Amino acid sequence: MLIVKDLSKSFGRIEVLHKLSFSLPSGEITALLGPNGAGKTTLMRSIIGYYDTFSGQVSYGDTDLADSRSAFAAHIAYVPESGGLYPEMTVAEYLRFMADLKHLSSSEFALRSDMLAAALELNSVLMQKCETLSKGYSRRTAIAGALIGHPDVLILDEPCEGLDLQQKINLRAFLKDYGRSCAILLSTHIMEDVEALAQRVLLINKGELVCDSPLADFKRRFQSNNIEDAFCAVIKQLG
Amino acid sequence: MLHDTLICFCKDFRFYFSSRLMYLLLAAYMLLLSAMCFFSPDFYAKTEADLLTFFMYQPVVLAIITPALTMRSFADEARNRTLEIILSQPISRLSVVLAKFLASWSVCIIMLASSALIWAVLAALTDLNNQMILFSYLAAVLMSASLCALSLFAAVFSYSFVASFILGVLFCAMLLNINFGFVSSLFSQDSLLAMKLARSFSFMRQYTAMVSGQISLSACLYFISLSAAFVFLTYAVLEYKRR
Repeated sequence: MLIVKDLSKSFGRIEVLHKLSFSLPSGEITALLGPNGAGKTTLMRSIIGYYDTFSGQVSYGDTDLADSRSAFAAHIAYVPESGGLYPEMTVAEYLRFMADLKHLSSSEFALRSDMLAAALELNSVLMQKCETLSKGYSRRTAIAGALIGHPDVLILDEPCEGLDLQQKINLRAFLKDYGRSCAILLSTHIMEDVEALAQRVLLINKGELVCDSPLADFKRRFQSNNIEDAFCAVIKQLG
Repeated sequence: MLHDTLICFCKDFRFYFSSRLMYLLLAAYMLLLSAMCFFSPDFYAKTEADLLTFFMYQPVVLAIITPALTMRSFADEARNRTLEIILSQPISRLSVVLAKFLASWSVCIIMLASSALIWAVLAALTDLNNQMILFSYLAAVLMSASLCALSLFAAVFSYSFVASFILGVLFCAMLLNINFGFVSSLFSQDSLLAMKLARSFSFMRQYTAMVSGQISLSACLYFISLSAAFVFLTYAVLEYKRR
């Protein structure tokens, strides 16, 4: 389980995150919601260890991010909103590179890459350069690269952005299935993704955690049948 | 750390050869160097066949070429959002910077090796002091390491190609022109040691001495330590930017 405790992050005098505490248990998909500028990207970057200085604690099991960044990083994978690929590499080379960064053995790599390429339907583009991939294949390649090291926590920033309907359905099905074995934090503005995937909702606004509750409770709390209305209601309430 | 550096080096080295810019730079390097050498009256006035003029123009040409080589090192990673990914992997961040430096230096060495074509052509026409030229190449390789490290240091400040390039050229020009004359002028004639010490920090003085045949351990150490210092400074700035 990933535990975030009293996490605060400032850029100069501006405090972007203020004492956030939550946990991401294994086998659960958690949606990270919030209006633009709420601090979602800063939160994700802090959790993955991109930012060095923040107050509070981020840990996975016995491994603390502040104490051992490398050991902690072995548990985490991150897929940014767009890009995240090296244009000059082929898909197979990209997967190999990501596996090397995670110190995977050749046999482990072969096993993982075969599994991910099949599950994410990448077999037809393995020899294609990343710069020539369509949006759908790019997103799936980035996700495959993140998952190649078998992370315990997967952090996704807008995974379905720009995908067509069929691609969205396929990716959601994959993530739902994969989410049974690891913790997933999903930051998105697409509320159908939240409805389809998330079991829990974290809502942040102006750097503060406003809500941390199961999806059903979140909707009930704001007397709404769908997540979109509930989200609008809470944002309106917060001003 | 060595393994991580090697993984990142392979990626960065391949990156250079995946774009047309690399080949353009190689052509620009050869063109600039040839033009500077063959249009220089010094080149023909020399009585010794040691290609000194050719090697004296190397720092000037490389001061323009190396910033163009390294300007995309961090800018492309930031634009493709791969910087976030690579810096959050279970690898040493110093190895990420070290790999970028080694990749750009390797490309520089390839450029220097390609300039041996001029040496080969001239060797066919006249008798050259080949041993001296080999030593000069060693000096040029060491000098190019310092320029690569400095250009990489300039590239980490801004994630814009243009800004990185301009800053890189500016830094390299400053390094080439610093001769510490003002420092040595502060000392009286009596303090010869202090004067020598101040002058020994001049980049061009060290390089000129080496290409003139005065290969010394101190000169080699000078270029190696200068490169190491700028690589470490690049790492420090990268770390600072993520605070």
